[in-house]
Amino acid sequence: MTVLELGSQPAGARDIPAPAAAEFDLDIRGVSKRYGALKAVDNSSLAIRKGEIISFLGPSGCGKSTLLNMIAGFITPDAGDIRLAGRSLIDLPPNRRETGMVFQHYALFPHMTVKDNIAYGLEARRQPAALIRERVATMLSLLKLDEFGGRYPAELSGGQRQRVAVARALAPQPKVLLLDEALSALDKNLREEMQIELSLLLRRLQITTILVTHDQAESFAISDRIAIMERGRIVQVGTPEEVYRNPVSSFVLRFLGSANELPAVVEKAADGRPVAVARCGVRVAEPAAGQPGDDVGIFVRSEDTRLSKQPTELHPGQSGVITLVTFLGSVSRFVVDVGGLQVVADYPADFRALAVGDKVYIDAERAHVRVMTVDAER
Amino acid sequence: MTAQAIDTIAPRRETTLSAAWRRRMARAAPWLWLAPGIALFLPFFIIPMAVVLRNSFNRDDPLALMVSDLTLENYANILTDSYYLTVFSNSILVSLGVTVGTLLLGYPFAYYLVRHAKASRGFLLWVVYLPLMVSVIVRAFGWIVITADTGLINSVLMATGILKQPLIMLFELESMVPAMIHRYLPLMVLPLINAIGKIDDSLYSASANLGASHARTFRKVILPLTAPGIVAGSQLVFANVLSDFVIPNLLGSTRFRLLAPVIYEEAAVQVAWATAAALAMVMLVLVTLMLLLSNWTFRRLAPWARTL
Amino acid sequence: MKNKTTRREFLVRSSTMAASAMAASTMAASGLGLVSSAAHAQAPTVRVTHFGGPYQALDQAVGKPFEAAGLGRVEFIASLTPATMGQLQANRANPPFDVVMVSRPAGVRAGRAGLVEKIDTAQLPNLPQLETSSLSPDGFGIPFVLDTIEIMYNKKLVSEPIRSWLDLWRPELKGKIALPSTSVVFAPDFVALIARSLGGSEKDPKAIDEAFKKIIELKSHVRTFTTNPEQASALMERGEIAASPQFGVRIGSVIKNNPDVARSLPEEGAAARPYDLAIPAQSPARELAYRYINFVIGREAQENLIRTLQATVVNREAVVPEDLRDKVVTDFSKLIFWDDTYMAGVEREWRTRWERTVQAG
Repeated sequence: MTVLELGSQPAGARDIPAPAAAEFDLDIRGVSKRYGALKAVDNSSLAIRKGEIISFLGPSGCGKSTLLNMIAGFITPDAGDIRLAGRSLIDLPPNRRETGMVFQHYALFPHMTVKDNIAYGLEARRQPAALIRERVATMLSLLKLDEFGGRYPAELSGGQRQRVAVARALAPQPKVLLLDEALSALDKNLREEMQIELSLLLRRLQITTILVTHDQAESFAISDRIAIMERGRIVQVGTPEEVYRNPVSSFVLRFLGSANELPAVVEKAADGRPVAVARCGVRVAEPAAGQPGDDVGIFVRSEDTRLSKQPTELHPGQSGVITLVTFLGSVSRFVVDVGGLQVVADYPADFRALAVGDKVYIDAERAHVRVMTVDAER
Repeated sequence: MTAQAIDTIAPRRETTLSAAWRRRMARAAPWLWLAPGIALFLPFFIIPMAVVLRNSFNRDDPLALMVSDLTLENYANILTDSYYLTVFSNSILVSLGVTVGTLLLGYPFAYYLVRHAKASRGFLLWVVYLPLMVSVIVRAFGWIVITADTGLINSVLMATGILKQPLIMLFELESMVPAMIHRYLPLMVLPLINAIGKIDDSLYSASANLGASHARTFRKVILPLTAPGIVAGSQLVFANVLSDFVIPNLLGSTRFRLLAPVIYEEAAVQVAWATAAALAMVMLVLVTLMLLLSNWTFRRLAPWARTL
Repeated sequence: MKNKTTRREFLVRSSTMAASAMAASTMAASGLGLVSSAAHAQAPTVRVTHFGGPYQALDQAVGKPFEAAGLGRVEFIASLTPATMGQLQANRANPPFDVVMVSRPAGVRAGRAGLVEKIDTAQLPNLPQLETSSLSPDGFGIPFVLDTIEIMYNKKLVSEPIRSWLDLWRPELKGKIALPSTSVVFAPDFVALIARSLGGSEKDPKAIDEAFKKIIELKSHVRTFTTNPEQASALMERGEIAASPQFGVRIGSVIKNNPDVARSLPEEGAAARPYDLAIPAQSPARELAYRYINFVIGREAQENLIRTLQATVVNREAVVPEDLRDKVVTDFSKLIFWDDTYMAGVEREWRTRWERTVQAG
C-alpha cells in the first residue's frame, strides 16, 4: 500500500464519500522535502475540502510543520504541487498565498497595538481605511477582544495573545487558516477552553483550516478529519473516530490513546489455524496480521481491557497480579503484572470489585483486540 | 527591681533593633552592586567634573594663570563669540554626519551578519571588533598613508592618469570623516547586531504571511523594532565624535575646527583653564541635551518599548 | 683556514663568553645596587621635570655627572609645560617638583601667578658664563637649552634657497607651505617675525596689522595649518610641502629622513625659544634646586647637552664639536629673544586674530 493511496483514499472513510476533485479546496500532491539524508516530508498527498478543519497529527519530527510551512510558502518543496482553489501555489511567495497563519508563539508584532496587529494584513493588502476599521472592529468583537484594542502584546495574557493571533490571521479573510501548534503554549484549562471556542468559531466562519499538533486530544477536539503523520509520510487520514477505532498500524494505534501492547509470535494451532501467542499467555486465534513464525503485537486499549478472576478465552494461561490501583478522577486505573509485563485496565472511577494483590486474567471483546505487525525499527 | 526590668527588656530591644538593622541592610544590599562603580566614578569622574565646573567660573589672566573668581564671563564670551559658535555647529554637524554615516554603513552590515551570515559570522564579528583592538593613533597614521597628497589613493589615481593634481584629502573633512566612521563603526554595529538579533524569525514569517512584501516588512516591522539599537548606537557615536580629540587633531582641518581640539588648545597651549573649563561644560550640556532629546523622541515615537 | 671556527670551538667560546658576561653583569648589578641604595639613604634628592622624549638623555648628560660630583641625586619626571603648570597650581602648598622645565612664556605666567619663585642669581655662580641675550628679563627661570623657529624647505621644490621669511610668499610655493595653527605654540612668533621682516616691530600695533595683512595674502599658499609640529615634519618628509616654519631641532630630524630638506636661518633672524628651569615656590629642596640649576648651566653639563641632545646651549664657554656646528646655533646675533612679558600680553589677541582671519575659511 503506497502512501499516495493512503492519502487520497483514507482507510475506512466509508461514511464520508470521497469528494469529487472540484470540491477540494486545498490539494497537496506528492509533496517531498529532503534535508540531506533526512526525508522531512516524503511524497505526501492530501485533499482538503472547502471549510474543512483538518489536523496534521504526529510526534515531533514527523514532518507536519514542514508540510504546513510548505503550504504557507516558507519552505519550498523539492517535488510535488500544492494547489489552492485550483491554482498552484508553488511559485507564489508567502505574501501572495492568502493563507493566514497562527504561529506557535503567536509572533505578534510587539511594537503594534492589538488593533494595529489585526489591521496589518489588511494594510499590507492595501484595503481602504474604512474597511480596515470595520474589519478590525469585527475581529475584536468576534474574539472578545473589544477592550484590548489599544494594548500592546506585552500587556496581554497568554490567552488574549492567542486570540489576537487568530484575529490577525483571520482579518484579511485568508483562503486557508494554518494553526501551528497554536494552542500548545497555553496552560491546560485555558487550552481546553480555547479548543472549544476555536472549534465553534472555525465552524461558524466555515474556513478551511489546517491545525498542526502533536496533541491527540487537541486534534480530536477541533478537527473534522485527522491526517496522522509518521516520518514524513501521511499514514492515515480519517475522522477522529475512524482513526481511533480503525488504526491502520501499530504506530497510529500507539499514538492515539493508551493501549496495552503484548509482544507475541504467530504459531500454528493444533487445528492448523494460526494463533498469536503472547509470552504472558494471552492468545488470539486467527489474527488479522502475520504468518506463522512472525513477531506481532497484541493490542488492547486500556479502556477496553477487562479483568476477570477466572481464565478467559483471551487469557487462558497463568494469571496476573494487580500491583497498583490509582484513582484518576474519571477512571480508576488497574495495573496488572502479567509474566513481568505491565497491563493497564481502566474502569469507571467508582469500580471497587478488585484490589491490589488479586489474581486476575485479562479479557476483552474480540473486536477490541487487535493483532498487528510491529514496525521493525521499534 | 529596676535592674530586673532592664534585664528582661534589654535583650528584647536588642533583637528588634538587630532585626530592623537586618531589614535595612536587606533593603540596601542591592545598592551594594553599585559600590565598585561609585568607588571609581566619584574620585575619577565626579570630583574632577566638579573641579572643572568650578574652574569654569574663574577668570584667565593672560599675563599670569587662572584667577579665582565667580563670574559667568567665560560662558558669555563663548556663547556670544561667533568663532566658538562655529566650532559648536561644526562639531554637531560632524557628529551628526558621522552618526548617519555609521548607521548607513553599519545597518546593512549588521543585518547581513545576523540574518544571512553563517560560516562567515565569526569572521565578520571579528572585523567589527578589529578597530577596537588597534590603537586609534595607529589607525590615524594608516589613514594618513592612504589619504596624503602622495598617499595610496592619489598615487593610484595619478599613476592611472585619472588625476593630474592630487586630491586634497588629508587635513580636510575628506580624510577625517571616513576615519571617524571607521573608528566609531563598532559602537554603531554592536547595538544594531544586538537589536536585529533580538527579532524573532517568526515575525518575518508572520509579516510575509499577512501579505507584506520584504520592503514593507522592513519598514513596518524590522526598522521600528531595531529603533532601540539605532538610538543606542547613534547616541554612542554622536557623543564620542563630539568629544573626539585624536582624529581631528591628526587628520582634521584647522579651517573647520572641532570642540575637543579647541578645548585642548585653550587648556594646553593658551593656558586658559577657565575658558577651557567653560567650553568643556558647554560640551557636556550639549551631549546631555542630545541624549535627553533622543530619549524623549524615542519615547514619543516608540511607546511600545516600555511594555517590553 | 685560520678564521674558520669548528662548531666545538664555537660552543666552548660562546659559553665562556656568556658565563663571564653573566658574572660581570651580576657583579655590576649588585655593586650598583649597593651604591644606589646607599645614595638613596644619604644623598638628598632633587625632583626635576623635563619634556620627555629626547630629554630622557638629561639623566646621562646631567643627572649622572651631578651625582658623581657628590652634589646629590636627581629624580627626573617627564612632564610637558601644561601638565607641569597644572600640577603646580593644584599643589601650591606642597609642590611635587623642585625644579621644573618650562617654555619661557608659560614660565613667566607661572611666575606672575606666584607658582615659581624669582631666581636668586646670587646662588648661581655659573650665571655670568651665560649668553646675556638669552636670560629672562623677568627672572622667573634660567635658560639651559633653547630651540629656534627657522624655516625648513625642500631643495628640489624651490628654484633657489630660501633666505628670508618673505621668501615664503614666492609664487612657486603656492599650495606648498604649511603654517602653524593656533594649536602650535609658535604661531605668535611667526606673526612677530613677519612684522620684523617687514621692517616693523612686534610692539607696534600698526606693524602687527601689516604683518597680519601680509600673512592673509599667504593663505592661498597654505596646504594646511598644522595642529602640531609633527604634522609639518611628516608633510615635509613625504615631499608634500616645499617650505614651513619649524623648530630647529625638528628640522634636524627631518633632514635625517629626507636629505632633500634643508634648513634656513633667515637673514631677518630666527626666533629663540629658550627652555627655562624654574623653582616652584615653597620647594622643600630649594638649596639643592639652585645647586642643580647651577650645575646644568655649567660648562661640563652644557657640553654634554650639545653632544647628547644636539641642542643649542646658552653657556658661551661651551665648545661645540666640529661635526655638530651645522646642527646647533652658535651665532647668537641671529637669534631674536622676545620680551616675554609683552608677548604674554598680546598672545591671546594675536591667536584669536590668527584663528579668525588667517586659519579660518
